[in-house]
Amino acid sequence: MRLLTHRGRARLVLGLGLLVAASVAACRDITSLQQENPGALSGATLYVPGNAQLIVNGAIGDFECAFARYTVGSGLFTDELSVGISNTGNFDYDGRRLLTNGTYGTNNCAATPSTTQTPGIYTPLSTARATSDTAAAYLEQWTDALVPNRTKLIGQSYAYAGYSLALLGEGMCTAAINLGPELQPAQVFAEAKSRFDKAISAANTANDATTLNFARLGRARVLIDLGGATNLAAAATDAALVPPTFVVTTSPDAVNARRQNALFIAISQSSFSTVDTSFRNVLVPGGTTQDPRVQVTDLARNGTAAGSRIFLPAKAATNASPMRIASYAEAQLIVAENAATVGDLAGATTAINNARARTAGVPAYVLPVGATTATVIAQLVEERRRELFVEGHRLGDMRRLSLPFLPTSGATYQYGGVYGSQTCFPLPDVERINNPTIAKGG
Amino acid sequence: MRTRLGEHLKGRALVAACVLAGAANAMVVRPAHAVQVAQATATVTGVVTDVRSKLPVVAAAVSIVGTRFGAQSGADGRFRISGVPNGSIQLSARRIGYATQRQTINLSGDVAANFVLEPSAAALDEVVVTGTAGGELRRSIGNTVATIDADDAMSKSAAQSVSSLIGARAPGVIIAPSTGRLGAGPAIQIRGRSSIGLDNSPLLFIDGVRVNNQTNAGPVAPPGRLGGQASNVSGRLNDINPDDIESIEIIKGPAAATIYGTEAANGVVQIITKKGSAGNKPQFSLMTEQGTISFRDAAGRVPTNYAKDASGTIVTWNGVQAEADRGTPIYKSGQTRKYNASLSGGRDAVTYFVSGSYENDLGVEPNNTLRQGTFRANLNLQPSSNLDVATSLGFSSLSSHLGADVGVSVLLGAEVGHPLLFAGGRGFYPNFSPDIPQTLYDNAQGVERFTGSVTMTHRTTGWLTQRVIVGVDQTGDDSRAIEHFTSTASQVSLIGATAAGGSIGQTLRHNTIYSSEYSVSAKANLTPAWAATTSFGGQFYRTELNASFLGGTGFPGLGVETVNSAAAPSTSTQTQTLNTTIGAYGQEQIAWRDRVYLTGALRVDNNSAFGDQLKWVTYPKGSLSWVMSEESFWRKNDFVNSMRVRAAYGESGRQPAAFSALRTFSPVQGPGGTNAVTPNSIGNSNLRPERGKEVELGFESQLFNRLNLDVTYFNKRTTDEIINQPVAPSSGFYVATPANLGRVDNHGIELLATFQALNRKNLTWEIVGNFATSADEIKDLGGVGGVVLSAGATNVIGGPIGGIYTRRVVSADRDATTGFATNVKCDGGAGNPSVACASAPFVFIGTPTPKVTGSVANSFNVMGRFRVYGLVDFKRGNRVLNGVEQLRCTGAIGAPLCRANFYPQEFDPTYLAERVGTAASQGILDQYYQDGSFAKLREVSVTYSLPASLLRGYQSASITLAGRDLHTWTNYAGIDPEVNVNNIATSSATADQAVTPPLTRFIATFNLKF
Repeated sequence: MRLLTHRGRARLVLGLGLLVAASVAACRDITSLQQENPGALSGATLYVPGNAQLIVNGAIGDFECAFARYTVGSGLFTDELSVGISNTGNFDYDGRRLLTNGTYGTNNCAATPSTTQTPGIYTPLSTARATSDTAAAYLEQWTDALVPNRTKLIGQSYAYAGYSLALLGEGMCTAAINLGPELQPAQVFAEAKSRFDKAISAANTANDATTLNFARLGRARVLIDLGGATNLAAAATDAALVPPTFVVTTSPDAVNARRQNALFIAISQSSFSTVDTSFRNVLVPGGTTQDPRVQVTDLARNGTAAGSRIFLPAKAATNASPMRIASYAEAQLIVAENAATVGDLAGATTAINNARARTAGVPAYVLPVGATTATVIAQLVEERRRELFVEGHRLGDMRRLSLPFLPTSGATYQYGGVYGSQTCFPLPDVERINNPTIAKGG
Repeated sequence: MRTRLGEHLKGRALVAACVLAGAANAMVVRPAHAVQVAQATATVTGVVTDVRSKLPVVAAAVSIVGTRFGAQSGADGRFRISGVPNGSIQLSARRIGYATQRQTINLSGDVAANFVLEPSAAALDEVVVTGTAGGELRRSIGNTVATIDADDAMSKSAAQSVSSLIGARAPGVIIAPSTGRLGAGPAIQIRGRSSIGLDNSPLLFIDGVRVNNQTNAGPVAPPGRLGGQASNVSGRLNDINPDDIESIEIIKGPAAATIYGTEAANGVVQIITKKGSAGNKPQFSLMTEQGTISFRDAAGRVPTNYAKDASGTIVTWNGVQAEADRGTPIYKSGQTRKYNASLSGGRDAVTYFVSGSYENDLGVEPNNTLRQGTFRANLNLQPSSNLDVATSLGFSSLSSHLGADVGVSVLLGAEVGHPLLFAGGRGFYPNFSPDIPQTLYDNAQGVERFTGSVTMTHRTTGWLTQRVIVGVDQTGDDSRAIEHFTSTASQVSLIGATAAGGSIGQTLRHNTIYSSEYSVSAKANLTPAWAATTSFGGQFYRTELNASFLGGTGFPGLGVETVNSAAAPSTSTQTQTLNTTIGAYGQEQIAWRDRVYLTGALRVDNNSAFGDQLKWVTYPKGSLSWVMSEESFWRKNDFVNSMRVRAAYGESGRQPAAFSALRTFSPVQGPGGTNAVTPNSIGNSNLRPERGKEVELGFESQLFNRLNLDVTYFNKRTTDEIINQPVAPSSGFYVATPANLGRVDNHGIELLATFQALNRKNLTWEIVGNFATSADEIKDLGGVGGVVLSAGATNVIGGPIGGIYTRRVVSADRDATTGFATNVKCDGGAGNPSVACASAPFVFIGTPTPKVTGSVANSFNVMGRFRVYGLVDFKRGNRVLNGVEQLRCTGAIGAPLCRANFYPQEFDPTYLAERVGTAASQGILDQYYQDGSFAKLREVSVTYSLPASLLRGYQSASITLAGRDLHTWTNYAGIDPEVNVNNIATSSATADQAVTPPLTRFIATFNLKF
């Protein structure tokens, strides 16, 4: 039986031949081995002027995510927060005995970020620093004709790079930049200052008041971190220029995990952490009600860590509550610190009250009779503790002002072992081992 | 039938020209000697039967040697070949598992020729699929190819899926069920584990077309919700109806898989579906299966827990027994119902096979069911005398409710529960009464799958075969992890208002694989003694995997379970994976007197996952096959009847994960919800595939006319192992980047033996055994990792992949007061004295990969009517983390629950040493990593074939009563050593934590053919 005649077979064979030939011709398209990930942007095509705003948005987003995690992680490390969950990893933050291969070094702010249970410190801040610096570098190369608002974007990029470095300096024992050598905090702060210098210059040119004040306050912050009377005076000069209405916060979102209020997630949603007892029921000076700056809510439930009870800061009331990064109040406390240091106690008092006035319900500070510089500095420490509660300042302040880490090293830790001697986050293994400069002894 | 040398050389030259000119015009070339000469023709008909059972042999390939003429025997064993030119012909009948038979006939008109085939495991003249056009004779290839005769296996066993059809039937091939729940496909692994970081699954082909076997493809719950936990599907092997399969051929490693190129280092599984047979009237085949599914001895296998009440009395509790006593058993007897119908037949130029099946199974829990329908239409056309066109179309529709294991399962609730701890949940952890996981958590999966291919084979008379295959495999998958809304007060009080609001996580996957292949083989008889076969070919594969996730929590009310009805939407995600492979091969095989074969081949490949700096990868191959027993010096004897020795060396690859070579940035939300990006992968432009290099040595022999042996030794070295190298965060990237840094060596021995223990007229007894060893050792990690920092699976140089390391208790005293352990010492490491456990090193405990696997099957055939069959399979040498025992004995869920915690005097102090809460945190876990060795009574069946007197015009009918997963012999202390929370395809860790064991089935099957 034959289905086709000879001519039919010939046509069939010819047809098949043409089909294969056409397929071969089409191969150029369908067999292309050029690989592109439809779910991600390629490094080869991202850095073009048309993506300038996208790149800067990324840098800011990276910082906000890193800042939120730093706030939780450093809060747990200091006396702002304590553990809610019975977990060894959390105990290590709380007990200041982190291993250098721990999650503080590796947890990240990816598109789906690592958990806020054991927040990443070094990686998120390093990422934010790098994306900001990279954005600024490309923007410097491009022209105004290619990028609308280029100078403004440059200012924003440098400002966020500066803040990333400020937190790296305040939180990390040492850090590195761009696979470079291991830097001490003072070197990191100097790097931060150089970013703020450029940010201020660009913001001035662009007439961008928000970035200008943000960068001024950032520079003031790292100047007091650098220490010394000169730096403090310079810091106060910058801080004094910050207007009363100034505030920069994160831009939170209720759903997006990178943008959610990490304090709320770690405390209220997940009971990983709670407000430490030293920050519970802190009353307004001379009053009987909670200081609104440190107001906390008893969530009436326990964490899995024995004896833990969950308290939530009022400033993290929801997962979409904005987290304050920089504010007029902070600026005034820097002004006050300089004034007190140089003996201008009245000026310090004024500045403290300028800060207090930003929060309703906080009475004015009255300079005690016979007050000295030390008295006012001590008050300033308390003012900063309250005003900047869970805003990522406490660890830097404790290091800068040599405040004691309590309970002291060697004291029994209630969930096993003893408190460690760490006063900062050590450079993690992931950097020490894989950074060729450091690995070679740099 | 031989032609002159000159003609063949001309033919070969033409083939070369074809290849050079490209595939397009290769199809139209026809050598001069292929021109047909009109002559008188005849028809050859006959019947193929089995010498033992006297039953028809289905799907035997009957062909006229040296020509294109051939046919396949039908369900009644009959075949018909028409249009055969008169003259002297040699008729051959081949069938998997039988020795090939030949008859010489002087054809001068229609003739009948019957074949009575004898079983043989060493069927050297079988054609096996090797990747070249038309396949190759088994005798000519230098490596082992495992072949499973699906019809035969299905007729004996209660195999209801492809995975159970493959399992335990080929040496070195492991089917690893992660769970016994219905719908959860298993993973498949060949010759152990050789990749540290990539998927260890083999390639899967159906009728020459690459198909999707995506692993880890199940429902996923929204973040923070438990619903989808451990409901993963480890592979898509079971989408295929096993009743549609004619045979399965398994190529095991680089030595054999070279011409499959990059991606084939894990081996290749070729599924060949049934075809119609010419010359017969339409053959109808009907099958129905009815059976039960049960969790055998659940109360005896789920542990009994202990706790002290307020008065100090020790109270025991067994969750399964307690619920049974209460009249609310947590496991019920499930049902399996399957119906299959097929129609096959054809005449000369057109043959067809059409089948449909429907399966409706109920699991042992109410949230575990499976419904699957399949349809297949295979059509073979012969539009001209030298052109075959075969179409293979398969469709399956699956709807399953997968249930769940681990944290949301009633099994975990029973295993780590106690009424004194969880009074509200009737004792079940975590205070969830059994109705909560079984009625509120629903992991549903709907899969629609189409696999279609067209194979065009063009043959000239005897010397040239060229083949084009094009095909597509499309899978659409809608997986939903649903936590139902509940307002039932008793449930709300237990799970809380938030969980009671319900949630949904919907994963939509759309996966497509395009395949196309061109191959050509030309055979030339250079001299009467020497022949050469030249093969060339090229393949193109493109894989597109798309997945979207959307979900939310908080439904407004009962019965409303859509994503948009959820009060709090989850972050949606979408992933798309594209991968393209393009490659070509050339192979030359030299044969001497059809008994010595020397083969050399070279494969070149490019893959879109390679780094930019890498263009083409080449893989060489060489093999030798020598049928010694056909040599003139071989003295015929009754001891060694046949002997073939073989050796092969080959290389193939395992491509990097898609996109891993690229520097990428992930889209994210920026401030104010603006578009933004964040660094993802730093990329590696030099990324290459992992390269497997394998030596395979072996022989096949028949001894005493009744024992067939197939023995293979393999030694594989995988270089360029892709290891994720951590990145210093100061670079701005943090995702570890894949780099070719490591090396893993594997070696092992495989044995397949078929023994005709008894061969009487009315009684035959056949024993089939297979045995395989496998060992893997990490030789290099490129300086990444390799340090054991905590107890568990770690890759260490000198150890196996996923080697298990813990602190190991070596001595302990009994505290005279408490009866518990004191003065506990741990292994101090090689050559060191024991030390305090807190400062002890983590020492090697074992490997997660079985070192020895195998099976023994016995088949008795009585009077040609009864067949009794039994299969026992075993695995040895691996360790499994008994996570349930760890949770129970260390008090991890709130209080210790083991008998040892309450009656310490009954136990050894070294055992008691790990029954403390600090065991896990200190990594003292060696006694929880338990020996996972087992032997299972996997299949038992009795088949009765009705005699002709009862058939009343039907061709054949049989009834089979079968049992599956009937008993386990093991020292493992958990429910079953086969279960695993993880998928072995992608994870080297083995852990048993409340995973449903393989369920016992009793099935009655009725087959009718007419």
